[in-house]
Amino acid sequence: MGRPFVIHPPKLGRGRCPPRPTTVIYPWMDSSERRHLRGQTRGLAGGGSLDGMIETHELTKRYGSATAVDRLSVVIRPGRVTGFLGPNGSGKSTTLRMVLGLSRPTGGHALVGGRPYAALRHPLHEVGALLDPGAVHAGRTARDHLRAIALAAGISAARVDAVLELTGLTTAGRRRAGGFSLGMRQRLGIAAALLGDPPVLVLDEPINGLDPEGIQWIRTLVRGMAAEGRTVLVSSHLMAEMEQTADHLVVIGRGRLIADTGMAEFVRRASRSDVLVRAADPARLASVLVRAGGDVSSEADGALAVRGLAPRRIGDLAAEADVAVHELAVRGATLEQAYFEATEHAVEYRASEGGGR
Amino acid sequence: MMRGAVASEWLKLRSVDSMRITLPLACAASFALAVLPFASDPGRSAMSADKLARYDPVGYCYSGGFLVVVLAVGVLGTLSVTSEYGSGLIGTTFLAVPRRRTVLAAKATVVGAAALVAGLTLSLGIFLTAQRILSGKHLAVGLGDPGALRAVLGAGAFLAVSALIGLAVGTLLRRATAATAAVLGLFVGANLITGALGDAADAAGRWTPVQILKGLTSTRGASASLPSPTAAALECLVYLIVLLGLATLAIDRRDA
Repeated sequence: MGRPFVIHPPKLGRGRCPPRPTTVIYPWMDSSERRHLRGQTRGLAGGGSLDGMIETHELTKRYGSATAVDRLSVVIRPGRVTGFLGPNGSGKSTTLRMVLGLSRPTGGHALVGGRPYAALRHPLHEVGALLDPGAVHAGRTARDHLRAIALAAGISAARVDAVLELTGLTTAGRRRAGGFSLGMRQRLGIAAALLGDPPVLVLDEPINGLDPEGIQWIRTLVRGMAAEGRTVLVSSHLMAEMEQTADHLVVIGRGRLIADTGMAEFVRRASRSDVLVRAADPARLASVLVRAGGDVSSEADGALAVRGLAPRRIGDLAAEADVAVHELAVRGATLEQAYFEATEHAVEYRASEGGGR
Repeated sequence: MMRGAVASEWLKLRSVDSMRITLPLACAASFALAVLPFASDPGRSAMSADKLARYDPVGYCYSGGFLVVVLAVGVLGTLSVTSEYGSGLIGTTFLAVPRRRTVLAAKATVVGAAALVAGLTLSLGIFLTAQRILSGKHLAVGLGDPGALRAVLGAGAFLAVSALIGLAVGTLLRRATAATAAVLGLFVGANLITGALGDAADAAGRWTPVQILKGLTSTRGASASLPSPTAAALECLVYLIVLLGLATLAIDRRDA
């Protein structure tokens, strides 16, 4: 496989990093050459933190005959928040676990900063991860939990206190983690992820169980991390929240890549925008609009959802037909609609293809 | 990496109740149960020559109540890893130390060392207290007497063996209930089975942990089902090499 993989220059878009040429690293280059080229892509002065990119190449995981992740190839770039979306059981967590070296891929590979996780010399300084907020010993205090991780990674006790303060757990740190609410466990998990001040953050469902303040805190945190040039990968089921937090989206369904695109483009491409019309005689208006080439469906309360006709034309048609219009509103597409459209399509695609394999 | 991993495992061990409370409690219970029976033993003058020849003032220190702490430490050994698999904390541990063999080695170092210190303290304490009681009955022996020091060291070291067997079984089975059952089966059940089978199972009987402990601590000679101290020590080594070897293979190969 002589396929080169490409390291793109970081696209910060916040003026922190000058544009650089794309660097290509070929498989036949030796390690020092690779390192040299990678070094060129580093953008932040002194930090060198931009080499933290997550790459998966043909990443595959099978459990018996079930394929959890199917030849997934994506690159998660620094300087932006990448949302990782997919229905339950679509392989998100399995993918993240393979990236983090916890599960062994059946095929393909995953790299962090150009290396497999297991080959990282100071892993917590290179990647911080929140996988399972329940992963604490109920009888251990939050501070001891973090100190145990810190000791294993050669991180100071001062840093433990710093992340406790950062996550608002300073006083709770002396209490046993078993008594923590889900929200506090999420904070503790995020504190652990931040211990090594890593250039790459991987957060699996970080806002589950958080109160509105906590959600806002996470949003500010991950956006700030991305603005500093870090790589931030966040999986979530909560579309509205993701829409506000992520710049870029990776969407998978049944273990396969559905979309790897910017948030705005993903939502736009879904083209689910329509016009909501309430009228005195919806049935009559509907037949008029259909005759004029509109795509009309009824909402539960008798309103009409119209696609394919501009609002102005709808108003004119209603006037011609002598139907009084009570409301005419353009509805923009949301991430949720775009997501449903994209994943629904994937399921159909999979189902029709399934027989031939 | 190894130093940090050991420091981390040591903190984990002493920051939960299993170490702070369960182990001292098990040691105290074991001590009481091991020492008390000596108080009711008849004096030298009340014993027949035959009984006196069989009476083992060293081996008896570790034949009864001492098994309580052996079991407790074996189960604590399993818990040191099954509790992490149960909660998912093992994933966090592997994120900090991706070389899983290092994690297992660190756990073995900490769990084994803690059990060794507790074991040696307890075995010496039982021996000295028992001999104090026996001195009134003119049955006492000293640490310098044949086999006495070997028994004290052997019993203490056996606690470390028990902890490491527990750790290995816990790593292999991952579930707390399964690992606890397996350890109890090995330490109690196996002996019940070979005992019930009688002479036919003597060869197997020599390999049960209870007989190994007896072999390490007895000063009244070996029998068909009782390994010599050297054989018992070698059997311990075989257990550790096989079980920890399997655990090392398993921890590397399986998904966390």
